[in-house]
Amino acid sequence: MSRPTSSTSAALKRGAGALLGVLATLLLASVVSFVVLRAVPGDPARLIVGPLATPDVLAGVRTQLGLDDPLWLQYLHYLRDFATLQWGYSYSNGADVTAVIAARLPATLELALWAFLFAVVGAVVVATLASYRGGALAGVAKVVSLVGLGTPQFWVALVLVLVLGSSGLGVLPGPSGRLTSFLEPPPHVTGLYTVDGLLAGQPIVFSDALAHLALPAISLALIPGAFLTRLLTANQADVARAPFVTVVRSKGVSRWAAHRRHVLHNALLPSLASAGLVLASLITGSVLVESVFNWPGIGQVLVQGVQRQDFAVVQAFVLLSAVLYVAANTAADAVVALVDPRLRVSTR
Amino acid sequence: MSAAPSPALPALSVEGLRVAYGDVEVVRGVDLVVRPGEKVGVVGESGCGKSTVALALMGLLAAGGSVTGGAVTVSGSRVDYHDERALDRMRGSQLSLVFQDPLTSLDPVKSIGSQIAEALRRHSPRMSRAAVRARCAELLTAVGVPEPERRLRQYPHEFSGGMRQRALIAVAVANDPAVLIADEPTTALDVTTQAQVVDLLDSLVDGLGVAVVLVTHDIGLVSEFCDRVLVMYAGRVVEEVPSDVLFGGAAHPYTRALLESLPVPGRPRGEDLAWIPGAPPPLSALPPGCSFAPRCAWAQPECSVGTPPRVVVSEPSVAALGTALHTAECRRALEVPRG
Ligand SMILES: Nc1ncnc2c1ncn2[C@@H]1O[C@H](COP(=O)(O)OP(=O)(O)O)[C@@H](O)[C@H]1O
Ligand SMILES: [Mg+2]
Repeated sequence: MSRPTSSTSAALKRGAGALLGVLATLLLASVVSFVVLRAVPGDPARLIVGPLATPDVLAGVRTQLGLDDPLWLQYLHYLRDFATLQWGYSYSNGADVTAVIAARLPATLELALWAFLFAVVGAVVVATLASYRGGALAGVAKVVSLVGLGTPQFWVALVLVLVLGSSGLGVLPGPSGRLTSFLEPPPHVTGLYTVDGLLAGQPIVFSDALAHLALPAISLALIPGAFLTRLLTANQADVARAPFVTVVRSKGVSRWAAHRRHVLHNALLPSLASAGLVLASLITGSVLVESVFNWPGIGQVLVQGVQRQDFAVVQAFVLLSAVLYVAANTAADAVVALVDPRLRVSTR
Repeated sequence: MSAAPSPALPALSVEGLRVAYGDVEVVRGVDLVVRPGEKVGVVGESGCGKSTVALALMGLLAAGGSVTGGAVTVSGSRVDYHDERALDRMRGSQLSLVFQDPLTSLDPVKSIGSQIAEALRRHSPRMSRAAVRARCAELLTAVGVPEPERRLRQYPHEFSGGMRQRALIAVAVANDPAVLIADEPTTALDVTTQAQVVDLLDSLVDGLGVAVVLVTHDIGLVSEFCDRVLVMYAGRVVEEVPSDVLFGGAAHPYTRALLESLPVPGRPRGEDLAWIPGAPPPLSALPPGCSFAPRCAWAQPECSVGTPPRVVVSEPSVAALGTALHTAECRRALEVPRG
């Protein structure tokens, strides 16, 4: 029997452990991104002032950037600046990195969230049907998910654009951004056009935004969708063999009801943690798809940043990705702890 | 709810049941009659087909298993194992099942209450929430789980093995079935808990009038608990014997060997314990004639030829007509000294 005191302290311990893990991961990521930035050839001050600046100007900028301070002090400043959202100046965009990312994050987030929805819904439907029906359907699902896992994302994106986009069958818009040009973006609430369109009561904006999203989101969803399908199919096959499923059937519950209520439920719980990581990878991993679809998200800024050695952008992106991964992982763990009775803190 | 079957009608009647996994027939013509409120034991070494019989009767054989012959009647009506909807209606309401391992028999992520309620709602969909909750608590009390209101909200991991088995028995009797099939219900439990679960089954037979088919490899357990014992060997019932004559009256050499392998009180365990030489034959390559012959101390050359006859060892008295027939499937059943 779980006494409240012992299970509460166990939960506290678990929470403290998780927090330590998060801090350690973030610290490591910040050190890596700090070191890499200092290790690359080239002087950041020179990049900012340009090749023609006098040594005096260069020295002034160096002092201003704190490049003459000892390394540990630079690192501490770097941490402080990251925590206070002062991520430096992006000379390739002519604006603060924070402002550049803030302007572009909603587009990337919207794409990632829809891709996540497609991947999860698709995986649950396909995996459930495959493991419930078995036979040829399961075989087809297995082959499709294997192929899906091995197919390069940009290739899928290109094929989708060519076949379904404006130059092919024309059923969906091709690489033309987030909205048809004559439509005004909806009033800004969340920055996600589909959500804001609904909130503003503009169904046309919603459906147009969704149509623009469809192809990039599907391209992005394919690999994680295939991954989740395989995970869920394997989990359901495991659970379906458990004796408790036979016990449920022995109550007179039909095979489908038993599968839905018990097999699927038990198979979903261990997949939740992976779903958190999938979401994080979708947000940070849309670079290729964004460039194929001309999607005005973070990915394009990142590519630009790398090409033009605009390291403030790259550095912010690297550290932001680490934060995102850690946050998604922690959130997923928290959700699992909430919905899995075996991990739930007993309040009784 | 179905009307109570008339006393003359058997609660469960099985004739010539055959089950195969793929090409291998593992149950080869089993007959079994269970009257309302009767306690029937099925014993035999592991692998002789006991669980397969239990699952086949429920219509819940694992993939690859199929009933290849026989007729099953539950409370007077013939069961059609091809009609899944009719089977779903029968399961839990007329025949129900308790499994060996209480640790894996409950869904780990659903509360005990919801798992009992699932059985109730399935067969009484119009029951109100409050009525379901009250009945669940009543059932937990009936199976000896204290503080039912609190326990219903708990999850399987908060229950001990014995308590889980009680909860599973509550699930099985929730809809007043005619027959409860218990497949090794005590094997995974410690000795004290075993005795408690057996007592509970006993009290349910007395209280609810449910008939129990107790499947086990423990011939000592069936002899204490059951009215009648069926001994299985290699997919067949080789002896059917009233419990009160089991010790001292068993006629089949295999039953005798099983009895001799029981530890005797006073004799130290493991010492002197008779055991049956050899191992049961693989079901895919049974010897000709009696399948026990190769291991049998009484076997004669003709035992390995043709199916052994079913010999009536003793006729039931007129008073107990039909309840206490003692038969053995052995050519020499009447010659072998009773043990
Ligand atoms: N799902 C299955 N698939 C194939 N063979 C099985 C399966 N279940 C049981 N068997 C075989 O059927 C025979 C009887 O098994 P079982 O009914 O479990 O015996 P018992 O319950 O008496 O130990 C054994 O030889 C076993 O190997
Ligand atoms: Mg068994």
